This record gives sequence, structure tokens and C-alpha cells, in this order.
Amino acid sequence: METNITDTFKKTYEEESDMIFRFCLVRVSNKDQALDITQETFLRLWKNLLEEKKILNTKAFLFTIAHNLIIDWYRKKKSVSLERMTNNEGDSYDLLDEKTTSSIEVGAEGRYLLSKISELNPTYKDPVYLRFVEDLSPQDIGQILNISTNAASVRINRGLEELRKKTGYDNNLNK
Amino acid sequence: MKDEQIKIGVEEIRNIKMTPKEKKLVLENVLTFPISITQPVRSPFTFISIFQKHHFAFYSMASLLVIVLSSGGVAFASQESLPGNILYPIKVSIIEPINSALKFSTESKAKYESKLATERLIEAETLAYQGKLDAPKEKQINDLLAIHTTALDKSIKELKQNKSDEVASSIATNFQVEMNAHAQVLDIINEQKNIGIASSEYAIGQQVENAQISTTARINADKIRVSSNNNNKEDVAQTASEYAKKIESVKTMIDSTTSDLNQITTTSPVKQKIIEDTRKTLDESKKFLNEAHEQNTNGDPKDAYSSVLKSENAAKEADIFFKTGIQLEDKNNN
Repeated sequence: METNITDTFKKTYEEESDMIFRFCLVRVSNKDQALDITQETFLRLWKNLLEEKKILNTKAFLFTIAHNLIIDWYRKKKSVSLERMTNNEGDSYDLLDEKTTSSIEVGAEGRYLLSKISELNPTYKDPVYLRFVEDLSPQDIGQILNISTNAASVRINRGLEELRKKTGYDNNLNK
Repeated sequence: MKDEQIKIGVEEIRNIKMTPKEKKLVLENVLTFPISITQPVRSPFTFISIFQKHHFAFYSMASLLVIVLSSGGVAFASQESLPGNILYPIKVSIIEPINSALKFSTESKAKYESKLATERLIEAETLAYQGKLDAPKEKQINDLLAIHTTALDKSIKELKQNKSDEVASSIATNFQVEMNAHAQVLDIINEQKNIGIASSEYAIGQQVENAQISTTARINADKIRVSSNNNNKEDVAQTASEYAKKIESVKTMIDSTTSDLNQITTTSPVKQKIIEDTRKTLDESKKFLNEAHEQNTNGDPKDAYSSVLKSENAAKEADIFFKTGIQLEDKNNN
């Protein structure tokens, strides 16, 4: 029985761990912290599997855990001012940390896109990132962010429009 | 292609991955992390634990609850229904058989069947009084009476097999008294209706039908008497104190009914008839009591006790007949 659970877990880890790590990294901008949160996220999954709890959507489950752990991390982070927290601006979408920037190989286009996602309205950042980078469905995004599928779809579309304007790709296309 | 550059950026972001070393390390850390999966031990004696362990029990109980809650109103409403009412089949085909099946002991089952037979007669009386007792309703009541009597007979035989002769005898006696008293009430209603509605065909038909029910009731009473008296006559061996106690109880019963009779002031023809017939039955009871006294004086305690029992039955019958008749008359006049 436990062998089955271990196999299931290993398979899930192999398929989803990079995705979760990437999500954590672009949010916390610190590689060590991203690894810690990734580890904690999979530890929660492992515990749930051992306790034979039913998980209907593993990917959504992992992102939800990671999302909540990141929020917790920001709350505990002393360097973040209360004002930034209340404005929901504490979470970024870039690779600002020097150590991270030097150890992660990301092309110029990728870095530019991340920085522009980071500039989006806070309510659009997560939906846009999860939809276009991680290819999650509006339903999964709604589940992760605890909003309805319709609300997720609306945020994705508005966020995309805003992203096009911020990147200037929209203008180029219209020319 | 629209958003092509965004797609290029996305592809580059997707290249962000853990190194194989980091990936392996995180996996090892997770799998070797000491996780305690001991859960609080649930008491196996609580209902909640039973339901958590046996989902079938939970679903059964939930379904039953839904049925009970949703049918509660109908069941309640059907309690007062009479033959011909849309809820009556629910009462006699569902509610009452379920209640009977839920009776734990043979004694309570026998008492319940006896009570149902009495209820059928009360229903017949009410319908007869309202002039609504037609042939199909009369047949329905007769059939139900037969069913209740058969069930009662079976329970009485079981009680006797289980050496509960006294209980069986008591239930049978009460059944006979109830049947005879209500048959008498039906006869009076029948008689009065017949006088009131002169010679119309409807009234003649009613007379025959009501008479059939009262006859069925008396036949059933006899059937149960025979069934319960098969071999217990010899078993009755009473002490002098028990005999005296029984005499006192019968006398109290007679006095109580006589007192109730004397309180009736306004007398309609029906009430007058009820009072007359009650007095006759009470006289019969007193006659048996006198016989018992003489037999006891002559040194024949067994016969004396038998006469006391007859006196007791007559007194009970008079009481039930009087109360049922007066109640029915008052109810229908209001």
C-alpha cells in the first residue's frame, strides 16, 4: 500500500516540482526560499497521501499550498513594510535576488516578461502567470485563488490586456 | 502571430527549473521527513464512530431520517382519517403495520392489534352516525377487523405458549368487552337512523350494513374468547383475598358508571336509549355478582369466581358502551 503511495508521490514530484519551484521563485525572488517552500509544499502532499486523504486535483492542491505558504512567508518577512503588505505589493514576479539572478539562466525575453507581470495590477498577477506560464485552466486558477471560475477568466483577460500594453507588444502588433 | 513575443518570454520562463541535485535533495528530504500520522483514537461506542466506520449505516440512517421527516406531516394528518379519505390507505396500510412491526413484545403487539380493532369500530360508528357508511367502506372495515382479529389471535396463542396465560386472558377479555360494547353502540345508531329516516331505501341499506359490522365484531369477540379459554379454566385457582379484591373492583366499576349515568340531565332520544341499555348491562353485572355471592356461600369458589369475571366483563362493557355512546352523540351534536 505504502509502495503505491510512494510511487504516486514520486511521479507527481517528477511532473510538478519544477512548476512549483518556478512559481515560488518568481514570487519570492530568492532561490533558497523558493526551494524551502517547494519542499514544504511537497511535504504537505506526502503527508496527505500517507493519511489517505482524498485529493481531487493534485496540481491545484500543490499550487494552493504553495500560494498560501508564499503569503505566510511575506507576512513573516520583517523587511516588508505594513503599507506594502496592505497594498498587496509585497509579492513580486521577477528574479531580483542577485544570487538567484546569477544562478538561474533565463533569457532576456523571459526576464522582461516577468518584470512586466510584476508591474501588473495585484489582482491580475497570479491569474496571468498561472494561465500563460503554467498553462492552468481558469477553473484550477479559481480554485487556487479561492475565486469563481468566471472571476478567474475575467482577471486573466483583463490582465492579458494590461500585460500587452505594458510590454508594448500590443502596439507593435497593431502597427 | 499575436502575443508571439509573450510566448517566447513564457518559454524562457518555463526553463527555470531546479538543478537535478536540488531536485533529488528536496525529494529525499520529503521522503525521509519523520511524519507522524497517528490520528486521535475514536471511541468505538459513539454513534458518530459507527457512522464513520460503516458508511452503509450512515446512509441508511440518513435516508430513514429524510423519509421520516418528509412523511411526518402526512403520517400525522392520516391519524384522524376515516374510510373514504385519501389518507386512510396510508394509515391502515403503512403507518399501522409499521407500528405493529415495531412492537417489541408479543403482549404489546396483541394490545396494539386489539386497539386497532376498536379504532375500526369507532370509525364505523362515526361514519354510520354521519350517514356515510356505504357498502365499500363497510367491507373495508370488516376486512380490516378480520386482519386485526387474526393478528390478535396469533399473539394470544403465542402468549399462551410462553406460559403467559393470565396476560393472554386479560387482553382477550378486554377485546371481547370492547367489541361487544361498540357493537351495541353501532346497533343503537342503526336503530335511530332507521327511525329518523323512516322507510327510505338508503336507510334500509344502512341498517343491513351497520348490522353486519356489529355482527362481525361480536363474532370476532367470540373467536378470541374461544381461543383464549381453551385450557385455562382449570388454571384459575384464586385465594380468598384475591376473590374479595375482585369483588370490590367490580363494585367500584358499577358504582362509577352508575354515578356517570346519574349526571346526564339533558336527554335526547339517543342518549335515553344509551342510558337504558347501560342500566340493563349494569343490572346484568349485578346479577352475576349476586350469583357469585350465593355460589361462594354454598362453598363453590370456582363457580363463584367465574361469575365474578362475568360480572366484571358486563360492568366494563356497560362503562365502555356508555362513554362511547355519549361521546359520539355529543361530538356529532356539536
